[in-house]
Amino acid sequence: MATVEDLERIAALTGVRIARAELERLLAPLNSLHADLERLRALPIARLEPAFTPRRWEEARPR
Amino acid sequence: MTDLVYRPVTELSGEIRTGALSPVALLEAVLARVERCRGLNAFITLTADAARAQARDAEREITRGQYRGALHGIPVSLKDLIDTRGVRCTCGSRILADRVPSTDAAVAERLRDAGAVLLGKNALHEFAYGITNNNPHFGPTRNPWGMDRIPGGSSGGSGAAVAAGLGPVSLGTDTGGSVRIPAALCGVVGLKPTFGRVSRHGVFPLSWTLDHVGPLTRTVEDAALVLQAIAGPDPRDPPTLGQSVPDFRAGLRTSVAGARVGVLVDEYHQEMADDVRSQFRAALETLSGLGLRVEEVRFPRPAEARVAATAVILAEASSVHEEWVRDRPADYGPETLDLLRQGLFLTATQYLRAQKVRALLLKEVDELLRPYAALVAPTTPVAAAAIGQKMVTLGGREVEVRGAMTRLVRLINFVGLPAISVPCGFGADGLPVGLQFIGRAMDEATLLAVAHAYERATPWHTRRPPDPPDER
Repeated sequence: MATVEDLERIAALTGVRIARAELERLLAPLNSLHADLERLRALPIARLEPAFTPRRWEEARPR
Repeated sequence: MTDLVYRPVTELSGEIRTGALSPVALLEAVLARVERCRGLNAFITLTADAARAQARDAEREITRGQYRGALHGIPVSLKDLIDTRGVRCTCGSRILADRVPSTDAAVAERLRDAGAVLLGKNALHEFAYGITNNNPHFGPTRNPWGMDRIPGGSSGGSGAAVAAGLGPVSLGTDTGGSVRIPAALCGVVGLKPTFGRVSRHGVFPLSWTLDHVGPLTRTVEDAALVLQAIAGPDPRDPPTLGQSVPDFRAGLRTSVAGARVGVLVDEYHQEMADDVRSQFRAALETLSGLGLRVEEVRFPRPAEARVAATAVILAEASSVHEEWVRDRPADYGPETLDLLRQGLFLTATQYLRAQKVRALLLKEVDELLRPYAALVAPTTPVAAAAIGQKMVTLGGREVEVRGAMTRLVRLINFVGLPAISVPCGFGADGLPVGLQFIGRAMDEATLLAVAHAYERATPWHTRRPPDPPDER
């Protein structure tokens, strides 16, 4: 679980100033999202290459 | 004149071609209707004078026998994040409020080449990043079916405009349902083509791997003919290269009897309000009555797909806006800024994990769809919420309006499939309900044929909203 201090450090790294009160508001949805993303590790994706483009016409033919 | 503004392109174009209807007269009727319906706040910029000049040009060309096709002389509007040469393009934002592009977006070029008359630029959710169209800079857009209701978004001005007779066609964009949601909530047709079918060159991005451009219209046939005009390869948007473009309108005449349609019956897709459920069930009976073989199917990993799609849009949108989030945060509305800031706190590996999930889903979804002409689900699990409403009840619990409205549409952007929303009745408050058909990749022709068959068997697309209060 991230803390507000974690978010402050990341914000500083990216050069973005965000008031502490606003970071506190962002914390709950971010922690929820991070937990959801963690659960994606359970899917059989380890050997897959990321699909940056959902469709490539040049590689496909209509069925 | 009211009848004229509610007629589909297919009828209007037949009369324009023969000279029975003047493009100038049609435009004036639409402009009068726009003025009558100002309270909807469906437009950010109206280009009446330029449109009049274009309509006169169209009339002269047609009189000389230089008819260009079904969109010649037809008034169209564009969501205000589609670049238009010499006409400001605000993206519904304060940051770009005074930006005037020097060139047209690819889709604007193609509509101009087809002879369409550009009526103006439609209102949208700020930077297309939301589904209410409660815009902090330009005010809320209202739903013609209930002035206290949202039209959906982010192409909400487009949905409201087409529903209220402010032109028969608008182009919107759909990153997580933003064409289909307003189509459903406003009782019109909204088509999201396959990823890469339509060039996005000159369209302000929300999320590069999820963005699509598509039409909102009054009928499925109109959606087909607009798609015909805007589809095709464009070197400026590489995912469009390599495609061939079939005759979508001709495909509508294909019989769909005997074809298989998959109903999404997994728990994720079955969570919907009672009034939506009753309309959805009636729609399934109609499909069976058309001779379609309606079978139960389950979308693979819908909850995981939703999480991955959320990560992708958050990260990509934050990348698009990175400089402004750092330098001009006060120029965003609070809701948009919150989302853009959330994306800053995702790691590169989380983003790539989401894209790996997409790779997995692409295989699974294509496999699922192979035997089916289309999948079917409601477009939204609830009808239009009130303006300012934050939560709705779904499945016995309170959920955010945004989450509810995008629930059944966002997954389809993630896998790049074509999908269309068509009107399928009215809910408890007399508000429209939408039915979503999802097609095989690159096979909009079959998708449109199924949707067209359903539309022809039902009266919903012929219904008109009440006139809004006259604020002239």
